[in-house]
Amino acid sequence: MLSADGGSFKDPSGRVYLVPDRDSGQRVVRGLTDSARATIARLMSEPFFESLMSRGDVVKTAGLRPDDPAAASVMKMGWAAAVEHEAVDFLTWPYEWPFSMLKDAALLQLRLLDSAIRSGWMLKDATPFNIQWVGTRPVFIDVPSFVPWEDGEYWQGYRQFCSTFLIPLMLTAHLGIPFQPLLRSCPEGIPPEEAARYFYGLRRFKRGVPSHVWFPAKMERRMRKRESGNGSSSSSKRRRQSETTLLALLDDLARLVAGLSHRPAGSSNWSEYSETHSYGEVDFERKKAFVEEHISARRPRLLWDLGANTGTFSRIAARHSQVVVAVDGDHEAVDILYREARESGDRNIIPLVMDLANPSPGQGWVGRERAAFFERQSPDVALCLALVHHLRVSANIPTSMLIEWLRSLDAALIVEFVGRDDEMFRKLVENKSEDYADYTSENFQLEIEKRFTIEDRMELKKGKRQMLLLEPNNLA
Amino acid sequence: MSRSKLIALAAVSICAAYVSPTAALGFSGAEGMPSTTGRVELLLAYIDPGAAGFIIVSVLGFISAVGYTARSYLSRLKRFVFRGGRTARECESDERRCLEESGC
Repeated sequence: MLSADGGSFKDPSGRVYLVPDRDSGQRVVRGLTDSARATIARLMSEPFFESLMSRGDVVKTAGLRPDDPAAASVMKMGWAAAVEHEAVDFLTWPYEWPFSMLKDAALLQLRLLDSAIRSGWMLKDATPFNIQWVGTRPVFIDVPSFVPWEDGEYWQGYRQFCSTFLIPLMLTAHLGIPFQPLLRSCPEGIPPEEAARYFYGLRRFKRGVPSHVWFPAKMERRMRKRESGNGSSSSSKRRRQSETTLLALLDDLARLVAGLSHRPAGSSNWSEYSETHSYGEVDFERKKAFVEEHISARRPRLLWDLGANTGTFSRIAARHSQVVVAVDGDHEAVDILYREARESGDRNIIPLVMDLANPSPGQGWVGRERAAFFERQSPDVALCLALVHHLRVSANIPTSMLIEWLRSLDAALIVEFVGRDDEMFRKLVENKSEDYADYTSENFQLEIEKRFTIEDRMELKKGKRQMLLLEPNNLA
Repeated sequence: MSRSKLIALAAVSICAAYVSPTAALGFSGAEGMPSTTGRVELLLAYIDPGAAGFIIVSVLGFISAVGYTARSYLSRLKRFVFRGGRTARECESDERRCLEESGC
């Protein structure tokens, strides 16, 4: 039974469906209207588009014959034709990306538009929701966004590019304001008028702000006043822009984005954890060996590393997994993980910034346009190393609820339990009045045994910590 | 491009930077606009805030084109001064490649 993708309904030219498949699990098939079929057929014969697909900048796409079973089932929904896209391993949203990922996505968007313009095509929108990740490589997935560039039509996606890519990046780079919470609450981005309120006083002279925040904000204000004054809205149909000025603007924007960087004044709580953890060398090596042994035995398709930090264990897991989704709440740690994975060629790690006590909810129309993190795909294996005590103490989640949540992942688990006599736990609770009485080794084991089978265990730091391999208990 | 054309282009770019774009494009502001009455609020709800997009993109595109041209002539000048350097086209393609590599 095919299911329509919750986020692909806005463009009337087509819709994406997930079609179950015996061999690959599921196929991603897009139904197209008659006019969209003609446009996509033309697009796919263009050398620039072939080159973008072969470089991996645009998702691999192929036309389907009407007698293909997947195409037939989609065309039964009323579409004139169908194309198939290569499936993306794990969907992510821009409010889960660290700074460097949004920056790379912005550069890809500009590069695609530049290539398209030079070949007589245009991208009709510019939103990071059209970009997904194959490991650390951004891939553009919304093929119907490419439309013929008719007679010098001006770039209508400029404002959207600024609101969803450039302004969030500038807020973080220039002012140190994290863009993730802003994009999570406003998926349409931060418009120039709103951004102008952040860039007051001398801040308005920071690089790119006068031209891409202050000037557009002022123009939009004036235009709104003018049009509300005479009640007429000016048509944009006859407005033209030369190829030269558009390419020059894209070049300027690419220079601006490439020059933006985010270097916090000091290190964050966790970005230096891999050098400053509390283990001795021997214990740390034993922990790595325990993780590697059990992951290599399972060879999971999808592995989640929850509380991944700078990715020491994500990289070990990546050697034996098809895809590793590495999640941590510390932006600096995740940004380091992304840059290191990108530079070292680890192409199967997707790093995400997320507070696990407040994970991404369902967003957009009826809460299904952008799926909640825990509703996208279940992992085959999850790593949960030295995380439970943080969620218990810092987020005040009772131990039984934590174990219930781990069971809900429906995956094999590798858990590290940090005992009450561990110096890191004592440090965490030293200024707390509560005693966290339910957080004991005995109670933890009791809760675990209700829902899991303990397949293997190993003590670390003379019994202060325990490594556990857990299989979900079907009777739970 | 001849030397006189280059000077003219530079002059235009300086003017473009100093003349208020809204004035240059003939906007007179919003004199006499009523305060936040229900009618105005209703009208505002129907106005696309991106309606200014064409003007913004045109002005920024023009300024970028001037900068782009100036950079390209600057690289030719450098080549002339230091002799034996690369051609402007080579410099341009190197810059583009550099940007792409820094991107991904």
